[in-house]
Amino acid sequence: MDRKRLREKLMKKTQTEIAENLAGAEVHIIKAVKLISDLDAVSNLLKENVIDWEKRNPGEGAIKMLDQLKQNQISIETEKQELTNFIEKEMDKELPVFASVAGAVLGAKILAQAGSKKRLAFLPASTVQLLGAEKALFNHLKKQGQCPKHGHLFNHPLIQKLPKQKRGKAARILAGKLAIAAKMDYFGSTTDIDLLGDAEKKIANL
Amino acid sequence: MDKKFEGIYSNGKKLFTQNLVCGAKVYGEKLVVEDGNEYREWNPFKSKYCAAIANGLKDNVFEKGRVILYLGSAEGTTVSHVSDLVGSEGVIFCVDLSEIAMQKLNALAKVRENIFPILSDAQKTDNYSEYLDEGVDVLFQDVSQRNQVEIFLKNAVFLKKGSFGVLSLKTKSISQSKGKKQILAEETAKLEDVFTIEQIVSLEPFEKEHYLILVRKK
Repeated sequence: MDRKRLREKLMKKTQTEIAENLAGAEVHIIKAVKLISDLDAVSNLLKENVIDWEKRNPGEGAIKMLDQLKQNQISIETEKQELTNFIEKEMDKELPVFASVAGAVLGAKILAQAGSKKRLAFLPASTVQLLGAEKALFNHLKKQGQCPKHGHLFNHPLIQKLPKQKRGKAARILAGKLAIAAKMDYFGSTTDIDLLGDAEKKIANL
Repeated sequence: MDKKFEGIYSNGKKLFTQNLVCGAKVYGEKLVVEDGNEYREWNPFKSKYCAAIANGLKDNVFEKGRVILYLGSAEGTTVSHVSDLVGSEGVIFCVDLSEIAMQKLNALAKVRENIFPILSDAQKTDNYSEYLDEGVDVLFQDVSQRNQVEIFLKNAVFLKKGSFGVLSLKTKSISQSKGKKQILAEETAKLEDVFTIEQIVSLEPFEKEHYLILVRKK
């Protein structure tokens, strides 16, 4: 292939690939994690219905309906598990560094709150720290209640295990590393830094 | 202007390349006209290769008409000067994995016809090996990864025998605890099977803890 044609072919190919990559493949992760929350709510409603109905001495006909209800509830649990598997796979593809620090599902929740990979990358660490605690945050800003110390991060294993007094500082440390991780994933850096290890050490020294 | 190497000029204080696309700036650099020729100022703080030249690199590998494989092209700051040097007959295959940077490079390619952009991880040589059938005259790499040397060696297969390779070594990417001289020695040793080491240039004060390694493929 002569040079001119090769060059044009490469420029076109690069253009297409850039457009595809930037088109937000992470939107599927966000959809999946939001769906898990919704399925959770539905699953709980079904469970409550089953428990309540069973208490009221159901006859032959009603038992059939109850069985179907139980089946549905089980398939929802299965679907939640499959969504979790999907999220783990996609997070490893789209935001590998972020997922390695936050965990796949928790990372996805934070990503969903931010809205997109790009928005997440440009957030300051203090915002990452509070994503998920919007109600408490704006309550506080309206002069009512204390400032929240953590949002979704509260559920991170490193923070959960800690006594109350240390959680705020730990959340700040972890959020700092997450902010770096988000930028590494957005700009495509694969420098080998152990962000989670660094955070663990700092938190252990609190 | 004095000629430092073919295509690289000096006015005693700064280095320049002759502009391939007259009148056009690439990144806000200064343009100087002398004797009817237009020169682009080259900043050693922005371009590692320029820093190496300023620090005594003995040869300019980017000669007119050469085919270059440039790994880690980023937004094209250094690439634009390489483009000036290899001229309209030269070819620069630019590989980078950042979409944002490649957007800028693709735009630059529209203006400079010797730039061939490739969006890819430099470790995934299968992505672009088909374009490099005839081999390249120079392998240039500037990526800040821990396995920089392994990437360089993997891409060495595209380099013609006896031709130059240039590796920008960022010691901090490899280890934050070992000393830079130790890292330099260890990483350079990895090159000795495939290459002869021609010259090692420290890039200080322009870049801290960076070295430019000039090699020749055996």
